[in-house]
Amino acid sequence: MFSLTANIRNEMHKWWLHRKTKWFLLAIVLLPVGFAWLIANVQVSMGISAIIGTDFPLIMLGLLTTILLPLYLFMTAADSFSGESAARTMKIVLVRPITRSKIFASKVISLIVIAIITLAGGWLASLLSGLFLENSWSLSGIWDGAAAYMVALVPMAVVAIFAALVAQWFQSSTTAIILCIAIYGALKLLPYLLPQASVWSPFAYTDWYSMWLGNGVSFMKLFSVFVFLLSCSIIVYMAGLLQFARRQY
Amino acid sequence: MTEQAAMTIAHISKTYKNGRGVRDVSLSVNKGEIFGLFGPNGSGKTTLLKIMTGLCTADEGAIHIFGHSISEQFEGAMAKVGCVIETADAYEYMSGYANLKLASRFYNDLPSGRIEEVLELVGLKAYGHEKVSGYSLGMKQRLALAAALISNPKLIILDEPTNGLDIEGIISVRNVILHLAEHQGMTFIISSHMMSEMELICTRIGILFGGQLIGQGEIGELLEGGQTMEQYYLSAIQPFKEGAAHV
Repeated sequence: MFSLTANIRNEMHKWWLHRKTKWFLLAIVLLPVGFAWLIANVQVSMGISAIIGTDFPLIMLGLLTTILLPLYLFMTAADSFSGESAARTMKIVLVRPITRSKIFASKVISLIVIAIITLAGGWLASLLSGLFLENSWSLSGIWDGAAAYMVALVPMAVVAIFAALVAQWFQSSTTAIILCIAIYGALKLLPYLLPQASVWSPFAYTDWYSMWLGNGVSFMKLFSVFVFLLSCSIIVYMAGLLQFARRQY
Repeated sequence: MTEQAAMTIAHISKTYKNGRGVRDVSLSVNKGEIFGLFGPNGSGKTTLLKIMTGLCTADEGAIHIFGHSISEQFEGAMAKVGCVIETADAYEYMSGYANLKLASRFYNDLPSGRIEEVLELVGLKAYGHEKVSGYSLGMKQRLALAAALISNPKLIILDEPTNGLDIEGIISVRNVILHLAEHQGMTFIISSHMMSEMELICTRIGILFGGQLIGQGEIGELLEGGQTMEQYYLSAIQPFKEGAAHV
C-alpha cells in the first residue's frame, strides 16, 4: 500500500509540473467565464433569457464530459504510459520496490484523480460564471449541478481506463491519442447509425448525469447502467494491466 | 542461497527474436564485493542486468536478491537495490532535486536531508534545483547515480556507469564507487566493456561472451602468472570462438 500511495503522489507531482496542466486548468476555468459572458450579452441584446444561472453548470458539463475531459484524459494517459516508455523514464519507476500491478493501478488512479480535479474546477467555475446570467438561484439547483458533476465521474473513469489500455499498444503517445480519438469518435457516432447498439457502448453514457436529474429514470435503470460501466471498467482494466505487466523493457 | 550472497543467479536463459540473449548463466555475488560483468558489445550484459532488476523476464532460471525472488517477491527483492540500467534517464522537465524527491518517496525510512546528501556525494549540489534538460551527459550520469544511492541501498547495479563520461567524470564515478564499497560496505555489480576500468574497480569479474558466462574469478587470481586482463580475456574466449568457427 505504501508503494502504491507513493507512486500516486509521484504521478500527481509529474502531472502538476507539466506545462500543459496549467494551461488546461486555466482553460477549464476561463471557458465557462467566456461562455457565460457571451450568453449574457446575446440574451441582453436579443431580449430573451433562455438560460438561467443554475442551468449553466449543466450545459458546461455536457461540453466537458463529451469533448474536453475525454480528450485531456487521452493525452494524459498517453503521456503517462506511451510517452514515458518512449522517453525511457518508465524504467525509473520499474526498478523501484513497487510491483507492476501497483504501478498500473497508481497511474489509473491518478487519471481518475485528475478527472475529479477537472470536474470540481469545472463545476466551481461554471457555478460562479452563472452569476453573469439572469439569476434564478436555488439551493436545489446548485445541489442538482453538484450531483451531476459527481456522477459524471463514473463514465469519465471508464474513459480514463480505456485510454490506459490503448496507451499500452504504442510506443508513441501521438499514435495512442489518435487511436483513442478514433475509437471514441466511432463509438459516439455509432448510435446515429445503429440506435440499438448504443446501449452496449460505454461511451454512450458520458452524459448519464442527465439520468440522475429529476425523477424520470428509475433506480433500477441507473443501477443497471452503473453495473454495465463497472463491468466495462473491470474488463478494460484487466486487459491493460496484463499488457503492462508483460511488457519487456 | 548462502547468507554471504547478495545475489544468486541460477540457470538464467533468455532468447530474443533475433536469437541474441543469455544462455544458462549462473553466478553468485557476495556481500561487499564489486563484481564486474565484462564482455564485448552484444554479449548479453545489459540483458542480464535487466533480468536482475525485473525490467524483463527470463525464459528460464531464477534470481534471488538478499533471499527474495525477483519474480515472486519483487518489492522485497528491490527494497535494498539501487540501479542505473542502459541509460541515465531522468524527467527532463524537472529539477535534479525533484527527480530525487520522486525516487525517495518509495522508501519510508530515509533521513531528512538525504537528497542533499546524495547530491553532494555525486557533486551536483550546486545544480540540484536546475532543470535536468540543461544538464550535460556527465551530470545526468551523476544524477542517475544519485537516484540509485538515494535509499542507501545494500546492492547497486550499474550498467556501463562511465559510458560517455570525460576523464574527470570517469575518475569521479570510480571514486564514488570505491568510497561506498570501502566505507559503507555496499555491494556493486557493474557491467562494462572497458577492461582497464574493470581492473581498477572490481574485486571479482565474470566474462560474458555470446550470451554465456565463460569465466569468473577474483581479479588477483585471474592475473596470476603475470598475465594481463587482456591476455586472460583472449585465452578465455578462444575455445568459444573456435567452437563457433567449427559450427
